[in-house]
Amino acid sequence: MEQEIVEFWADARNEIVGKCIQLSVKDSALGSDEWHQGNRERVFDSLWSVLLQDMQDDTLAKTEEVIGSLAREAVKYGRDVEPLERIIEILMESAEETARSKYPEEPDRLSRITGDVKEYLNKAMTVLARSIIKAQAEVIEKQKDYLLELSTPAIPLLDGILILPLIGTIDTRRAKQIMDNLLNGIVEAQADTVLIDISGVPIVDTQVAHHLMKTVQAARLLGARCIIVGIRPEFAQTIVKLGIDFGKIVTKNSLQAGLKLAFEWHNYELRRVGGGGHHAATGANS
Amino acid sequence: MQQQAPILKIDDYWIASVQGSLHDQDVIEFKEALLSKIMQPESKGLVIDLTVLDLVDSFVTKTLIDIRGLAKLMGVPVVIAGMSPPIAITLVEMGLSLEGIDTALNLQKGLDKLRNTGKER
Repeated sequence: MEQEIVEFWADARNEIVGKCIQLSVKDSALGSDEWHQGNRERVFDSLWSVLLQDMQDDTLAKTEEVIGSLAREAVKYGRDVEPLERIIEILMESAEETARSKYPEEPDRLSRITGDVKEYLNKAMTVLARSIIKAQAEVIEKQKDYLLELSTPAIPLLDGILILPLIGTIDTRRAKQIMDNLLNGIVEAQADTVLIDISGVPIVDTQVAHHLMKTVQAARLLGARCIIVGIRPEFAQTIVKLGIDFGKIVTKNSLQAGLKLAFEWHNYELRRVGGGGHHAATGANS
Repeated sequence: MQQQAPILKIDDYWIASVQGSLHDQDVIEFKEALLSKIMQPESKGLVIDLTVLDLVDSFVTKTLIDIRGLAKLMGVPVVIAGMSPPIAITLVEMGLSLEGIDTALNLQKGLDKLRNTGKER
């Protein structure tokens, strides 16, 4: 970049930032609270100076950094990203206006001076779009992790009995998480019986069945027996249709039946103490 | 070798605790030593404790299956105890689910299991 152009823009800096603020005050897209006066000045000023620096060094590194952090902040706090676009547009407008007012009679010189700046501001716009997408992807990735953490609890029910209620679609990633969680839960609780309730899994295909079998086998290697409960008719149909051999895996139709079996294995007896009363009446119906 | 996998006796049950990672030669020696111990007429069972084992390969797994088969021939039940989740996952991913080998969560439960199978006979 020529020295003359660099000097021109460096000299015009205060004027441009001033114009930007003027324009931004009128702009309805920037009307919200986060964009109060001091904040605006800081944003315009820093953006303009990194842009000039990058133009001299012929890179985009610093611009990417500043815009990236702005985009990340906006996405993180759930703010609208439109103001960020407007900021770059306003910078462009003010820069053009400033240059035009300096050289109103020399169109050649004007286009020579503004050419590079325009190009860089366009690039900055692309950088902004990319940063926003990246920031959103980061947020989604984080949320996925949170969801995974929440979605596979292994609950110790009684001494030696663990319940693993599975809810929602199981993909490979989740299946891994489930296996890890369950095995660690088994070791932690020293549980030798695990009830896996799959009544909350909407779709069961070969993949899911395969993961289930692997989980059961791994649990067996640790020394725990699994009972798969909550097998719905559709699931049974799928298993038979696909010809999957569930082999030695113990299955039961309902959690109650599974619990009964688990109690049997552990020599527990479920017995109501005393007769009559509310509980006895409701119990008789079930 | 003895340091890697001590073989101890409680009552009439043998307990082999496999420690660290075993090289192929160690594994073979371990198998030999184990078999010569359970040969003894008073042997009622064998627990192989894998609590501190941090790595398995297919050779170790094959040896475990071998030991189980050989011990069965001699009429000595075998229980594998205390396997850790990473090892269980590795084995399952390798397609080795050790069908037919009894497992237990820890040494105590392994011994209990042996005592119970003894009673059933």
